[in-house]
Amino acid sequence: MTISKDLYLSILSMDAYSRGYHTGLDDLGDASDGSVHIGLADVSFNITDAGIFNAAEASSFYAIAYTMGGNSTTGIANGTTIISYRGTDQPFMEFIPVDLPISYGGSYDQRQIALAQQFFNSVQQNGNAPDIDPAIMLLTGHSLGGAAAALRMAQGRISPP
Amino acid sequence: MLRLIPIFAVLVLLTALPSCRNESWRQKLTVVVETPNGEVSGSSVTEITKRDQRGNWFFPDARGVYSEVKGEAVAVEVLPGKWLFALLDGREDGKGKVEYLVYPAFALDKATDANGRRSYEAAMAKLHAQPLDTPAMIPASDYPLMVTFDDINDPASVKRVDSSDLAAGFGPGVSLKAVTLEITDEPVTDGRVEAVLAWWLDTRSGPYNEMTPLKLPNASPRGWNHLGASAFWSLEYRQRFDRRAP
Repeated sequence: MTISKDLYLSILSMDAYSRGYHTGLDDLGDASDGSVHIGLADVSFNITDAGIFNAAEASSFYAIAYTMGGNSTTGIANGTTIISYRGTDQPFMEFIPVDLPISYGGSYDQRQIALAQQFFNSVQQNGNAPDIDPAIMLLTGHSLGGAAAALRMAQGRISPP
Repeated sequence: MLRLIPIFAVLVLLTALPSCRNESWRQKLTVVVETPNGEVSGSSVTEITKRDQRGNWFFPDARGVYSEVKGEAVAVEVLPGKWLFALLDGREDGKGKVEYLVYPAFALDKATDANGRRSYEAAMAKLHAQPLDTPAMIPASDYPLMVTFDDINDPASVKRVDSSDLAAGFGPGVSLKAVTLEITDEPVTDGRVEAVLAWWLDTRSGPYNEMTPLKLPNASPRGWNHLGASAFWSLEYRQRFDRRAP
């Protein structure tokens, strides 16, 4: 069975809600040691690896990186690193102070932007690790996570979400 | 017209506020260990808050019941200088997280409502009916993740503990006797783990100068996984350490 690249990225954009802290489902785990998979994607980097766990939890930010282990079914090349940014999951903490200014004021929350950038940089800086290749990177995200991915894409030559 | 949308959104959220039902309790997790020198134990009181965001007022992606934890891991000095930690984090299979321990301890997943249906509300009702300070056994299948250090002052010596074979980590004659949980009104534990792992608070790295994660050896393809401070302390504690950091 094949699955399109866009559908696979959509699945990964929602998967970020179910890993790490404050998960919507039971915690599916975000260990980056090669033991956690979703389809052909292996979790390869998390916010603990990036050294931003406290700042992320305090700002309700979460992101996770996967590395594709095969390309036969998704159209995403083997070895591609995919970063997925979690969207709004804390209505009172994120909707008014973060979402509304983006939607109606064009103003991005500086903590969320900084964390999205820091996570991206950390994934790139770990490019010398065998499971991260900085030359092949895709970004995805749902809701606020989509905005974070799009903004990061606009700031660099990265594939759109 | 567009300018009215944020005002409308705020009103919607304010309306939704009463529908965000919280459940909160304090629980004491106790680990009892048999040693050649006799029985030793350690406890930690944590405060769990469940935020129910399942209503139609919430965005579909934000719906669910979310858990917040305040507190720290259990620290037991099994032998002089040899510590066992029962962490806030669960194991790789998702079991053993401190915020879910009430379910196996009090069989909450079997709680049913008046119509005989299992539900979150029935589970919470059964939880609040539990008598205070009455320990219940946690089944071994739901034990939290446990670790120790070969040298309590060496972060590189951290290793996982097999709860069914404590002798492998601590020596002959050491075994886990029980892990219990009780609902309590005792204050949340603060400072015990900090006193034992004081060196970690000054070991910092990363863009926000946070406590450096430990490398916990495991059987994964990479051979280790990061064990962060979040496994030992809740956010409020870690933020306090961050503010004091050099």
